[in-house]
Amino acid sequence: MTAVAERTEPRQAARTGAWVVYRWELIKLTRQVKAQVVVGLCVLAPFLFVAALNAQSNVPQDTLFGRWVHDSGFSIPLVVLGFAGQWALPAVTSVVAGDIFACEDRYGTWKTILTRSCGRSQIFTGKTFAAITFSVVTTVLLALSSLAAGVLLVGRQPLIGLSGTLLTPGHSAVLVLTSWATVLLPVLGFTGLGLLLSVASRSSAVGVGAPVVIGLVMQLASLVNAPSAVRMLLLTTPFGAWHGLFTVRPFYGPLVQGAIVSLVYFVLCVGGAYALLRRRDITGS
Amino acid sequence: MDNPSQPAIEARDLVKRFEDTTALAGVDLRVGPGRVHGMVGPNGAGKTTLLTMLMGLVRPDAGSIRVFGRTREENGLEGVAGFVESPRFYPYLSGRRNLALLADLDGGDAAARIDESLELAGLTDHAGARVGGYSVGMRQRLGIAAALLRDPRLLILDEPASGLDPAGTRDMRALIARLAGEGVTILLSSHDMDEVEDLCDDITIMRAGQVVFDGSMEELRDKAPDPAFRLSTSDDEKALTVAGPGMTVTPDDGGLLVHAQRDQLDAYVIALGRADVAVRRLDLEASALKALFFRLTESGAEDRATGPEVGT
Repeated sequence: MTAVAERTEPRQAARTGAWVVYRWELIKLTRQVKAQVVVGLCVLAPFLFVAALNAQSNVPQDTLFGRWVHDSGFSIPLVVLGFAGQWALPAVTSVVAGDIFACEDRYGTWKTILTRSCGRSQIFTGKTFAAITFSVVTTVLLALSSLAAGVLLVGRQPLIGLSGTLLTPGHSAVLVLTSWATVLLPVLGFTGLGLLLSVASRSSAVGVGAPVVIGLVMQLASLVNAPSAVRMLLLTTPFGAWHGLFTVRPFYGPLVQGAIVSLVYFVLCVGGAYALLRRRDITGS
Repeated sequence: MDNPSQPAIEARDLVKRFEDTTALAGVDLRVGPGRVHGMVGPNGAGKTTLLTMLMGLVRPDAGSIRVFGRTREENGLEGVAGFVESPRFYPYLSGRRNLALLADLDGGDAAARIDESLELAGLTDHAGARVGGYSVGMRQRLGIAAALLRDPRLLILDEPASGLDPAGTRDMRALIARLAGEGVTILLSSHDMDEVEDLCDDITIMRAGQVVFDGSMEELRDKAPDPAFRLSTSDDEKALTVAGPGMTVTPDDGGLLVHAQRDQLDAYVIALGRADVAVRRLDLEASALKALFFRLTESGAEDRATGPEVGT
């Protein structure tokens, strides 16, 4: 009994340490203007977008569901999702993920926190979960806000699916929320990329900016008719995997592929970031 | 349970290279329990690398470190606190909030010591202000408060008086003396030989990644050469001829550099007057300890003057 207690104690202490780091990272985020601005934009931007659309007769026809923005409020979160997947979600996630480790270099606080009773693995775990939390919360906020903006400012009219069939408001709402849920995994992939760049570059500018640039390059690669095997491996491809949900006979293959690709990106990036942080000598002020 | 006679720090043959620069080339360091141990050396001597290594921030390429008999893997930072280079904090949080964060990372009853630590560091009145608005001296005080939160048995301080005004420096020295009186082992890195001389029992002098002296302050004083004085006269050439036995007078930087004991210096000044040479200026260039420091850290490696190991 005692031996078991002795074995489990360090593991429990490690979990407690990671939880403390996680809690403090969230407290620090609530104090940072950039995080407040991003959360505010996620809530307000969809309403401003709909207000701008309502002020004109033109519609974003080139975007999926763009031609229905005046006819069904459920098209709004899907149009927003289409735009967000191109650059906004990588940008939103990397604001925190790309900075959460690099900011310790910027403030010179690695020496302050690594000389306390928390180990590097606990600090890494707490910070990683804080970045994931921020990415998930902002994505959920953007989803709910764009759905609310569509329903409140346009209405709960039925949505026309990609096969031309009419979807009831209830069914449309479920499909909209499911579509947004499917982008959580590529969002996690970009979060992992931001974390890796944050640790490797020790620069907030690189950590925040590079994932957006990488996302845009991947978009470009998919637009110039890259081979399908290459397109399948791009982290931006899963952002469009939800299209298959809106056909009469939904197809889930892209969703499964996208989930696997996103998880591989996440695991490789986070694993790489952890290995780098574990090995790093903390020098300089 | 720690052995009370166990050294607080026992580092052996530490080596650290950064690319093609050797920061530490086989350094040994032994700090006895309850001692105030000074560490001095010119910039680039390897002091900061050694301190960061002791605090677990940098891994040695070779050698071993034990703190209170434990390696880093054996929870070697327990009971250890301090800072290397200037202490840094989150600028958008208040001083108190920063300490609360660090206390949570430490766990235990560290949070209960926040008020006491702030008071000891003389920062109670500014605890609610954001650290971004702190002066260098206030951040230094917050660094001390953060260290005290851990109720340390070993305090590692790198230039603790840096950025402090004279009153702050006085308070800092008093605090260090008080903690030492309470049995806390202190490793103090400083450029100020007067500070080290006032506070420390033992001293390690480093140069170019090596220890060039390691021993007690008494042993260092025994090795100290004559103090150096800078002299300006009405006729330096004639003054050179008046120098008495046992002292050295050399032309230096438009004046004269005199190495002599006080009584020899008195006799020399009187002799200059008798020789019709007016003394226009006479300043202490370096105390005996400073003179030894310069000799050890500026001369060739053959002058290595390692004293007996501390504690032997």
